[in-house]
Amino acid sequence: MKKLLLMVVLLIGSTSIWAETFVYIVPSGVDGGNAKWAQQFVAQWNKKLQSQGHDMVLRYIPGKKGKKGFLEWHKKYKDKDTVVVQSNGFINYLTTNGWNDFSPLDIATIGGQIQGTFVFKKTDITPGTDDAIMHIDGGAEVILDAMAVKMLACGPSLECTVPIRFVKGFKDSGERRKAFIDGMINISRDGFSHKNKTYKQEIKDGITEIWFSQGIVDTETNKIIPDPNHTESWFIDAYVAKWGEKPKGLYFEGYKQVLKMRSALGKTVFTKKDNIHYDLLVSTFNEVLADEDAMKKLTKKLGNYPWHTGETSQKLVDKIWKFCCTIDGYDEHLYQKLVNFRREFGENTEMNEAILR
Amino acid sequence: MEWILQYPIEIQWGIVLLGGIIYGGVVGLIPTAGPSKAVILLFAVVNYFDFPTGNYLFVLFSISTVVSCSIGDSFAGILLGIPGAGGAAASMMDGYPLTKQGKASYALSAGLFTSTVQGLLFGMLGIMIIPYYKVISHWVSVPEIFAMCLLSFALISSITNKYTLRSLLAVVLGLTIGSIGVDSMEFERLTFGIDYLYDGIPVVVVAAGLFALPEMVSPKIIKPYIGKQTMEGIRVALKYKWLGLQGGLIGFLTGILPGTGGGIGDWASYSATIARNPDEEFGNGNIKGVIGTEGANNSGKMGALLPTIMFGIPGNKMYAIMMALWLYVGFEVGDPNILDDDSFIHHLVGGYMLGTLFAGVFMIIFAKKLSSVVHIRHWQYPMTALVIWGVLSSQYYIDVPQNLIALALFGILGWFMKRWYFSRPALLLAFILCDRFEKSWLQMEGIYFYGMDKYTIWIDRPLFTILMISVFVILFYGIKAEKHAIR
Repeated sequence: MKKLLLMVVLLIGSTSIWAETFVYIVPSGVDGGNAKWAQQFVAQWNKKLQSQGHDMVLRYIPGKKGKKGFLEWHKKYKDKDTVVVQSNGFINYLTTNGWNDFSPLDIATIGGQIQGTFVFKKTDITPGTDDAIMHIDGGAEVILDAMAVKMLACGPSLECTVPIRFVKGFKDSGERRKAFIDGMINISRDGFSHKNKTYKQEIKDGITEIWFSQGIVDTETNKIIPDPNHTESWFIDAYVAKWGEKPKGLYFEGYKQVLKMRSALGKTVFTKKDNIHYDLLVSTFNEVLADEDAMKKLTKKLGNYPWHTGETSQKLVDKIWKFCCTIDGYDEHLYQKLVNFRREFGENTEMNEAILR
Repeated sequence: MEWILQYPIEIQWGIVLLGGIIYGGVVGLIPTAGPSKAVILLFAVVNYFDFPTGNYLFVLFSISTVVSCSIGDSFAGILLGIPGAGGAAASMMDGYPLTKQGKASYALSAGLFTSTVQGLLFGMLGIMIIPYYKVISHWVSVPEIFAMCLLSFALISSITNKYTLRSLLAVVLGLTIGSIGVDSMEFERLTFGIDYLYDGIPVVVVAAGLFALPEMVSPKIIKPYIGKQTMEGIRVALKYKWLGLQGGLIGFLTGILPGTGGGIGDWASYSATIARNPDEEFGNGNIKGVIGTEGANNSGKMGALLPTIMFGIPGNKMYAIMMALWLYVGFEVGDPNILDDDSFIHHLVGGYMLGTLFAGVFMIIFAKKLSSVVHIRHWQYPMTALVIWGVLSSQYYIDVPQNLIALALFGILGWFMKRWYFSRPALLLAFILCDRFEKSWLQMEGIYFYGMDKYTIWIDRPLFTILMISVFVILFYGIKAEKHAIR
């Protein structure tokens, strides 16, 4: 009888450990790039979890440009082993206050995918000497692309013969894409999926071109390398071709650090440190990466970008955070400059006091 | 779901269509839910369509859900005064007063009939005009949308009641409240450091507070059911068929422009209806207000579908979510190849047309039954309060206490406005259109009002010029008429 009871207890105990429903928090609404990435990846990840008796559900928490979802996780679920959260680049960690006691150094990285973006322009304009119009808005990553546009169009002096017009009011990405197709703006930026959709026909017709790709962060060296989905017209190459030298200076350094953050942390999954399910989560994540069918689907939809998991992931993220979050890596001068560069585009950027501490 | 494959294709279509219609219709009935929520919930079932040919059936299911939900969306606004989405708030303006007069199923059947007929009409038109999409979108663009917002403000201020200046003040107040939150460059506006206000106030809180709560404070007993309202509703919809068509056209044209969600088509149609009937009173139960607005309902969904399938540019937020779902089942909407996938187009168009037809017929039949809910006099007001409470708790589970405080404050504001004849519809309209209005202004400022070309917009964009002149004329006569009335 005792043995039977013990078995029941063990069974219940083991079930409660192993048959878990994991909650995957997406710090955004159900539409948009972050949500789409989560939907695609979790569909595959869940199959691997389900094969081991577990399950994963998505939960969307929109608001405050992603900060609300992350802080909600930090406030309510930071001690839960069954909750994971997807980052959205963390750029607003650099540019806003109000993160309470949250620190990106206190969380563990499960895995993620490196990301890259493309900047498109109409073929009949030469930004810098012609009237070039690009959309702009704060909080999101557009300013990073705008910084690259300014560098490439204006050169080392950052002063163009004809200044680029940065137009506000295009927060809705569909509206912005249509404005580009209609010729109301002539520079636009987008991710991998739209490269082969929205702009495909215009590129084929010779009306639009990929002006440059931003490139991605290399998981091994932490350096920026060309985008594997479009190795030609990489930003650095385009810059050298136009200005005869590589970009340099504080403006470029600030841009580069943020680009690394966006590329490495844009689509990364985190959880609490010392999560009892950490090994399970990483191993099932790896199973997805080893599954040819799953990867074929994901590559088609999310692009042929490198993935990182477990220890590699953690090392990469630690390197990236060094820029802003540790005393060793923190460079007040560069950070202050970066904040000012963003302010030049009209954004209400703040120095995060938590970083300054 | 693979069991469905054992049946002939007609039966498969029948089952999936019926499922989409019932599901969409039920979600549409829930106050504040609306088509976007119905589409979001499809993420829970999309996996069941993951089998050979299942993905095409999912297209059928999802599009029939959308059209059915759009038709059913009118119920909550007209019956309870709590709109399902920003657009449904426009039908509520005259629909809810009709309910209070005991004409709920009259208003519903007129609205549902118009919405269905226009949905079918513009569904066919939409398919035919795909090659001309670019031409239409060129003529109705950013400046015209900006002018349409202004025209809506002018019309609702000048014609819905005789106190034009008070209505204009209500518009200003609506724009002020609508601007609460963070602007596009991260500057906080009127948040006073309160976290809740950072992303703005949810439209349901404003609409329910302004319209539903003041009615609870000073309830009027709803008259019992009178006459054969369903048939009367259909008859009146046929009588004012051109108003419905006008709404359909406006909804369609605004729908094809990405970023014009939030009910701008419905509100523009409502304003146009008012403009066509300057001697009539609106906001107190004018059936033309329901018909004119409902014309834009489903036609707008068809309009927004066009940029979605042609360029992968979602016409509104709902289609952005739908695109994610379609991508999930393997359809790269926006990839030019999708237009060559006959089966995809066949399921999409079939789902839209048949879904609209059957959902419309079902709902008109059930309108009378459903409208009887408002005749439970003793329960109506507590029930309305409970519905608002329940909806706020379930939808905005993070900020429930703050939402309830805001709801109470808007209830007080609504009562005050009602008491002193400030136009509540004007405030709600301005609140809903504020974001669109601001974005259009910023875009116009950056693109057109620049350098030497700043005045050419008046010549290059004739429709913009006509709309702007109309705004000034309407406001001039509105203010003049008010002075005359006061004298």
